[in-house]
Amino acid sequence: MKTKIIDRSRCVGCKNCELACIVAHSPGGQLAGAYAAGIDKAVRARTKLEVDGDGKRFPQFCRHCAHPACVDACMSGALEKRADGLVICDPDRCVGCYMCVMSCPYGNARPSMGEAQIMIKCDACTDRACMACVAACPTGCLKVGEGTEAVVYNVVG
Amino acid sequence: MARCQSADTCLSAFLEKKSSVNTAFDRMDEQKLKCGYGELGVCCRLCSNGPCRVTPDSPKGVCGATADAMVARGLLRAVAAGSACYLHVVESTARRLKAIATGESPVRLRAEGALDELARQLGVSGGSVLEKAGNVADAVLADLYRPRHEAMTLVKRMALPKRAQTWEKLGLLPGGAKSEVFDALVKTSTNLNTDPVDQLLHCLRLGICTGLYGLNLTNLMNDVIMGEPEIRVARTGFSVVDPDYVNIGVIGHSHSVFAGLIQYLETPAGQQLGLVKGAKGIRLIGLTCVGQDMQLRAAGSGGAVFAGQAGNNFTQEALIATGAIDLVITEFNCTLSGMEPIAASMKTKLVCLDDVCKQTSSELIPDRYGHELELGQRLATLAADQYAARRGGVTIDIPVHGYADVVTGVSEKSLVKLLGGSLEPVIALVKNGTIKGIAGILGCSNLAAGGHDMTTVALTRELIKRDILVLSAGCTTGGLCNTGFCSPAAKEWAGPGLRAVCEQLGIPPVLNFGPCLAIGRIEIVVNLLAEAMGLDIPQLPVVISAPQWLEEQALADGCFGLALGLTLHLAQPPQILGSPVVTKVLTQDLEQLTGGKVLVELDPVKAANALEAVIMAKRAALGLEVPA
Amino acid sequence: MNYVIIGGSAASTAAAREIRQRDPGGRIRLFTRDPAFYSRCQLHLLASGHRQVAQANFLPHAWAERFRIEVFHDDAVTGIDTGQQRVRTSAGREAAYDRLLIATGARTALPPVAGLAGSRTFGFRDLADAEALRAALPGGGRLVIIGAGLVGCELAAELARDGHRVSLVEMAPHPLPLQLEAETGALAASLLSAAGIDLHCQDRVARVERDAAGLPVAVHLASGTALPADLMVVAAGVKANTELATGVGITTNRGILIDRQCRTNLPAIFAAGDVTESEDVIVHQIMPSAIWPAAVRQGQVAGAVMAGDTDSLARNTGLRASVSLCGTSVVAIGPVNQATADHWTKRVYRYRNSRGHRCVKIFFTDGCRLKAAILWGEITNAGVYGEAIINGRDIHDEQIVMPDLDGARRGIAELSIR
Repeated sequence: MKTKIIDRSRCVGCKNCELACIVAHSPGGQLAGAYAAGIDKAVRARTKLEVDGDGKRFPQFCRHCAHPACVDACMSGALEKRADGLVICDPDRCVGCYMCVMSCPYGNARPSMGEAQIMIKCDACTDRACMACVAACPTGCLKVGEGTEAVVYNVVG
Repeated sequence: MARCQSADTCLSAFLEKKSSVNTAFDRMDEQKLKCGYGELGVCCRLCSNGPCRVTPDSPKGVCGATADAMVARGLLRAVAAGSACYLHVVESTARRLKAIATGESPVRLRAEGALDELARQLGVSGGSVLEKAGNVADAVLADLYRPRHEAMTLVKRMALPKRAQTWEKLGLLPGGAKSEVFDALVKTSTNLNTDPVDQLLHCLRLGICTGLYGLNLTNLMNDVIMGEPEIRVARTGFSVVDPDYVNIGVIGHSHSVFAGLIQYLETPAGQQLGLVKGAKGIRLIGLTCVGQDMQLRAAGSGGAVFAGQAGNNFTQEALIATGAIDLVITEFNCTLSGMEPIAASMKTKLVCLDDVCKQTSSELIPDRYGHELELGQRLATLAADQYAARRGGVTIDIPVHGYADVVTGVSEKSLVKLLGGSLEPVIALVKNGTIKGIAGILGCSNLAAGGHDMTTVALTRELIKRDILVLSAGCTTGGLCNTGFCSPAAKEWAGPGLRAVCEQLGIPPVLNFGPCLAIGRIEIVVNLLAEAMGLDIPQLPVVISAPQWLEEQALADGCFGLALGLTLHLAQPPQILGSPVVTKVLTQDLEQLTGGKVLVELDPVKAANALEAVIMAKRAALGLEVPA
Repeated sequence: MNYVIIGGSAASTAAAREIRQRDPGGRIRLFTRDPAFYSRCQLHLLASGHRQVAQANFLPHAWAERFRIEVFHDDAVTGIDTGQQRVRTSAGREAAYDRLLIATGARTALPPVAGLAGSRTFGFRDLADAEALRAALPGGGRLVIIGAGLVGCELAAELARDGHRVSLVEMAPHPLPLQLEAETGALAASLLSAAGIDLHCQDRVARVERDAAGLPVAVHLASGTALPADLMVVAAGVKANTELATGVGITTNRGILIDRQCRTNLPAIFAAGDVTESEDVIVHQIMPSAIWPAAVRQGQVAGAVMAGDTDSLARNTGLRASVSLCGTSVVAIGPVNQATADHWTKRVYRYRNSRGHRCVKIFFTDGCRLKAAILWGEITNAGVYGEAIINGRDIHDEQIVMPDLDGARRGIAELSIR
């Protein structure tokens, strides 16, 4: 399967993955429209560039875990670990209880902060030709390869 | 990896052949991944707490600045820089005129008639020619150097009275131009102005400084120094280069910086420097806007030593790669850094006359007022020596490129002369619908909007097909010349009405006004049309487009267009889309203030439809026939 | 192998799935008194009518078919024969089991208050409760909710949002007494009040006054306050459904006692979910763990062990809650209220984020261990703190070592606030 390979050592903190994620999930899917209604109405990124305790950049991406805590915590059935290995949220079923947010040990289940109170998470851009974050990464920190898992942290440094 | 394409297919083919040379066309692919924060204008680097980037998770900068504040600040900074560039050009031109007037400079004035007209317009008197020239220069310099609280005096003498009234009402009459730039920098510094509307109004003031001073007064003073444009037919493209000559490429925007070199090359002694090295002589090859100015005024100066305009901004690397250029002289932009390694490999010498465009490998030989002829002799000698030193070891490969029948030399005066003394024939054609309206296709070329000149060419094709007369100035016209639009045969691409006009007047459907400075000339034409029709500018069936705008100067030019009340089309938005307020003001609300607005559309057909619709709406408002 | 599962909610369905993944040939029968699968966490949405029962199904489409589970709805198990290893059901079915899972949940406990039992008093645990309340709501009138825990607060907020007149009575000094401490409790009180809820904390229901027809008139509080009342919802405590278990000698306390493998004291009988009590990983006490994720985890462990695999509740806790109060998200992890009286260090970080939301983060630490946390207003990354609390990750220099990241450390800058 397609595997997202994350090499922390190559992250320079440009946050283009975040913005690409925002754009990919915005109505219209275009950069030009992503902030058009004002920042308060812009969609939130499913991913977040964090800084770790040592001051190093830490691209925080959903791992589509083998035993996803978010799915175990989901009381609506919105979150599902699919046969293809991806953990996907059905926004129509989500009621925004945020027990997934409370449960994901990596912080990758996030409140939408939008008008609809639902959780948002990485959908691996399954309805897009390629993963928006990978396509937007200028440094090679994010790459796509072949593997047995959806996401691999290839940690250096 | 894909090389960026040009609408100029000969150029694309040449670049394909020169695949060992790295040019902007190759680097475009390497840089294709853009930073979205930059594109939206929501990355602020003004302080040590930053850079701050606006996202839904972090909607304000550390200081509290909103996306609106960041975007407006970024735009004003860019407009201020662009305005500063043109003001640098008008300042140095005025100082040259002053140096000639005082006798310090040996440069001779080539158009005394133009001086009389200019002095009359500016309300400047003077007994002798030189005294008048000095007074004109003083009047311009005095305005440029005024403090910000003193309004510039020449504005109302240059602007259409109705426009000046609008500007006064909106508080847009600028103080001293350089002070306006200065305070724009103050305003946009850390933790100062965060009011997007105030900053946008400042942009418009800078637009007025840019248009009236940076563009118009530079043109008019250069007309006095270098001679007035006259309509004629000339060759453009790389084929203007003859390898048997010592070839000097010129890059920049200040025609009169070359006054001494041209004057010297026009002498037998100047040409002798080349002849003794075995060349047929020494000639100037036009690149970027200063070449356009040389082409525009070739009838009045340098006609014998100017080989022609090779191409626009992004053709310079390819031109040097032909190996036929011995010396490149730069005095302003667009001086591409990428030419340096190519020049090194071709043993082409780079000389720079103004440190504003100093390159790592160029030799700075400052242009000093009063020493123009010495400089000319020194540059000619350097070129001839370089010719002798390099020609043996360099392969020269000049493609067959360009057009031999380009109509050039169009200006606000030469156009009126062509029409028999007034703009009435054009007004009649517009009124009866033979020509629906006029579009200014202006500004730069870039590699972003579909490729080099791609959108410019496609949009122009669509407009002339719709019987809209196109006036072009800047690198747009450089591209349009090399794709045949400024040659008489281009009438075949025009709609029936415009084609008939082209046949009747013997003109192409795209009138080539030359350099980007001549955007000011096109806006004078618009002024004259408004005056003759008794209308204000926003009422005219006239639109402007900077389809492939590149740089900060273009934004400053654009602000002048908006201050004039024109609809301004851009294929790509400036870096403003992160701010709903700035976007809305520029694309909607501004129309209620100055009458101008920005229209963004990448697709050339849709853009032409939109511009045609604007023209049609203005025709309808004037009660003019609206052809189906 | 025959598996019988009693119950139709989080624990039972999780167990069924785990069993099927390990025992493709086993027969799995699931008996539930519920008429359908529905999420008990969505009862407030069902009561208000913002969701329908079909939407509240928490299982994937065609779940029973996919995992080959024989599901019997509206069929409660009425007795267990541990000798014969059989169960009998209300519909007259009998089913033999090799392994039995009791996941019968809990029900509303009615406090012994004079006049409370009677018409127009509703519990709030089951679909039937929610549907009865929903049917009674259009009559209008005053609604008194007794108990401002998670269920009471969410229901009060949901109904107040729709314009119903709601009073909320809580014995503790502030709402959500198990999840919040004094400061965030006061914030919760003001949020609920601002939403139009008539909130009475540090008070309790003394008696319910009814008219001659037996309909409620007013709820009288110990303080003397009388709350006009047409409807009453009791959300002040639950009672585990242990009756089946006690009848056959399964050890119970407040619930069925289970070990880390979800075994009861009887062989072949397991229990999971709200009916149980087990050891909590954070406080190391035997206690109920009445949250959905804990029930799912218990069901998973029970299912795995029933199918002969190994698994453990070692990391399970019920001391976690996520609640949305009138649009403000709150997550509490760990024994936040025990902590206040303890020797733990409490650090409070109050701020307003740049979206304009008032936020509070409260951390309780014991030496280099994070023990409890409350995130008020901004809950992103709550699970990171939860992970550190549950797994007892050390904190060095105000940083948590992130799991599976080879030394990546997550800074908790807030801890440095003194």
